[in-house]
Amino acid sequence: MMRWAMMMMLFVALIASSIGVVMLRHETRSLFIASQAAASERDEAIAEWTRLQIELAVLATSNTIESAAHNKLDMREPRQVGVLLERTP
Amino acid sequence: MSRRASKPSTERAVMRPERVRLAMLSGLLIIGTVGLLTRAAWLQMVSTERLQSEGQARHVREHTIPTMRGNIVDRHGEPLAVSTPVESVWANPRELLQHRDRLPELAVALNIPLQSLETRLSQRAQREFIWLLRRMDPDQAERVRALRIPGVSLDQEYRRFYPTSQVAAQLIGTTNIDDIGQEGLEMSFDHWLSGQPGRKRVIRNRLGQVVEDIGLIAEPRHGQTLRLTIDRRIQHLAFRELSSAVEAARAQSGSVVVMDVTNGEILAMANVPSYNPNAQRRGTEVGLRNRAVTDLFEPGSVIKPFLLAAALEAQLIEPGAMIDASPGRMRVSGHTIVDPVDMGEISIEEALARSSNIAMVQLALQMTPQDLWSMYARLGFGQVTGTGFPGESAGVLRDHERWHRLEQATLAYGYAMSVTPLQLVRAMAAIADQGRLRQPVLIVDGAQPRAQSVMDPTLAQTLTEQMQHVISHPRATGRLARVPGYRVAGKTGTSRKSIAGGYAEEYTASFAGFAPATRPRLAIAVVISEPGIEDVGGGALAAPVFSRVMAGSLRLMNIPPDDFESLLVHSGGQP
Repeated sequence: MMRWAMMMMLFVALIASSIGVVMLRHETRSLFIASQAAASERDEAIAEWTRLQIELAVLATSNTIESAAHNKLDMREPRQVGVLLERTP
Repeated sequence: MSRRASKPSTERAVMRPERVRLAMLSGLLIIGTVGLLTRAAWLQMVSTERLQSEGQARHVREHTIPTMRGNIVDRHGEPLAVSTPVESVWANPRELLQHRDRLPELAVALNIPLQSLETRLSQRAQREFIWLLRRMDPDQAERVRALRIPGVSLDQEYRRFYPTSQVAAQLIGTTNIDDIGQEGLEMSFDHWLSGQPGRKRVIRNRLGQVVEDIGLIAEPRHGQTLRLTIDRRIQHLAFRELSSAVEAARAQSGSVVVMDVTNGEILAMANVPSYNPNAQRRGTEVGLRNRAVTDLFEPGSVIKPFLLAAALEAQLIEPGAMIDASPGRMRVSGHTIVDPVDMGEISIEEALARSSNIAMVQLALQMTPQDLWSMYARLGFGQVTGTGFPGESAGVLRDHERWHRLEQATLAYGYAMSVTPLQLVRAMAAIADQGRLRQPVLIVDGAQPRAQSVMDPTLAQTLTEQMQHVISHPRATGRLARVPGYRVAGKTGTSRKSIAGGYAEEYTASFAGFAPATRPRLAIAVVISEPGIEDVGGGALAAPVFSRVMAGSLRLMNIPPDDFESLLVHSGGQP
C-alpha cells in the first residue's frame, strides 16, 4: 500500500514537473522573442539616432556655419574691440 | 512437504502458456524492429529528398550579434567619428547558382555588371559564403531584400562616418572595412572603442534567414564612447588658418598644436596636407601622417628661450645683462656662425627678440655641456611625450658626453637636435605653467598625469617676461604674433632642412608661444615645412598663424584679456 502511494505521488510529481518544464520552456521562448523584438526596436532607434547625429554634425560643421554667417547673414568679426575705462576722479 | 513435492508438476503445467507468451512477445518485437529498420533504410537510401529538405529547412545555427563601435566625440560631446548601421549582402554561391535565371535582377539591384557578378560567383562556386556588396545605403538594401532570391542574405554591419572630415583626419585616424582601427586614435584606442560581439542560437531557414531565435549564448557588449580633449571649433580654426598659410606659402606641409598649459590637454592638433576619411579611397601616404607627433625637424631659433633658461639657471647672466654680438660673425671649430646684421652690444632680451645667433652661441659655449643638456632633457626633448599615439617620435638629443664644441654651439640655435611640434608646445607650456612639465593629454578620462617640476618658478617667470620682447620689441622677429588685447610670449624659428652632407635650401618656419602672458592659459606651436617662397622666416609665415589661432582660441575659451592698455579707448574718444 505504502509503495503504491509512493509510486502514485512520484508519478504525479513527474507529470507535474514535465508540464512545468514545457510551460517554462515556452515562456522562455516567448520572453526571448519579446526581448529580441525590444532589442531590435532599440537598435532601430540607435540607428535612427546615429543618422540624426551625423545629419546634425554635417549641418553644423564650422564650414557651413561660417559660410552662412559670412554670405547669408553678412556677419563680420569686429576689427577692433574697444574698451572704455571710466576714470573716477 | 507435500506442497513442495507437488510444485514441480504445477510449474510444468503453467510453463507452457508462459513460453507461448514469450514467443509471441519476441516475435512482435522482432517484427517491429525489422519494420523500423526497413523504414529507416528506406528513408536513408531510397526516399531521401523529403527528409533532406525538411532538415535544410530548419538549421539550428549560432548567429553573431554585431556590435556597434563606440563614437569619438570632442570635449563638448560633439561627434568626431560616428558608426551607423548599414547592410551588407552576402550569398551562398552553391545555392545561388542553382537559380541562374535570377542573377540579372540581382545585378541590377546591386548596381554591378551582370558579367562580373557571374564571374565572381562561378570562381567561388564551391564556397558557401561570399560578400556581394558591403555597406549599402538602406534603400538599396530594401530593394535587394524584396527580391527574395534563394542563397542571398543581408547582414547588418556598421559604417564609420567622420563629420569633421579632413579637419582632424590624422588625429582621429580610420578603421578598415572590418571596423578595426588602422590609424591614429582609432588604432591606439581600438580595444576601448570596439565592442564584444554577442552570440545567439537561432533557427535558420533554407534561405539563410532567421526564422526563430531560440536563446542567447553571450550578451553583446557595445563599444564605449571615446571623449577627446579636442575642441572641435578650435580644431577647425587651427586647420583653416594652417591650410591657408601653407597654401599661400606654397609649403609642403604644416602642423599646429594647441595645448591648455594648466592641465596638458590638447585642444587642437591639425596637419596639412590632409585627406577625407569618409572617402572610399583614402589619401596618399603623405596625408595620413599625424605630423605633429611623428615628424621631426631641427627647431632652429625657436629653441633659444630654453638655452636662455639654461644660462640663467647656471647663473652665467642675469636678466638685463649685455652681450657683445659684434661683428655679427664668429668662428667655432672652423665653422662660421653669422647673424643677419651686426647687432652690436645688446641686452639678452634684445638678443632673444632679434634672434641673435652670436649672443646665444657665446652663452652656450660658456656653460658646461651638462648644464645645457640637462635643461633640454628636463623640458622633454629627446623623449616621447607619452600620449600613446601610434608612431610617435622621441626626437633626437644626443648625450652631452659625446658633444663636441661645434655641436654645443649649434645646439644654442636649435641645430644638431630634432623635435616634434608636440614636444615644442609641451616645453613652451612648461615655461608658461611656472616650470611644470606636463604630459600632453588627448583623452578625457579623469586621470590627470602628475606634472613634473623642471625649473624654478621665478626662472619661468623671468623667461615669460623676456619672451614677450619677441613680440613687443620694435625690431623683434615675432611682431606678427601679436594678439590684440593680450600679452603674448613666444619665439620664432627658421631652420634649414638637413640633408646628407649639409643643409638644403628648403627650410622650416616655426613659432611657439603662449598667452595671456600674465596668466598663461594656452600654448601653441606652429610649424610650416618647406615653403615655396624664398627666405621668409618663422616670423613672417608661422607667427601670423599663431596670432589668428591664438586670438580665436582665447575668444572661444572665454579667457579675459590682460593687456588693457592696447584696448583702451580714451573716454570721450571714438571707439
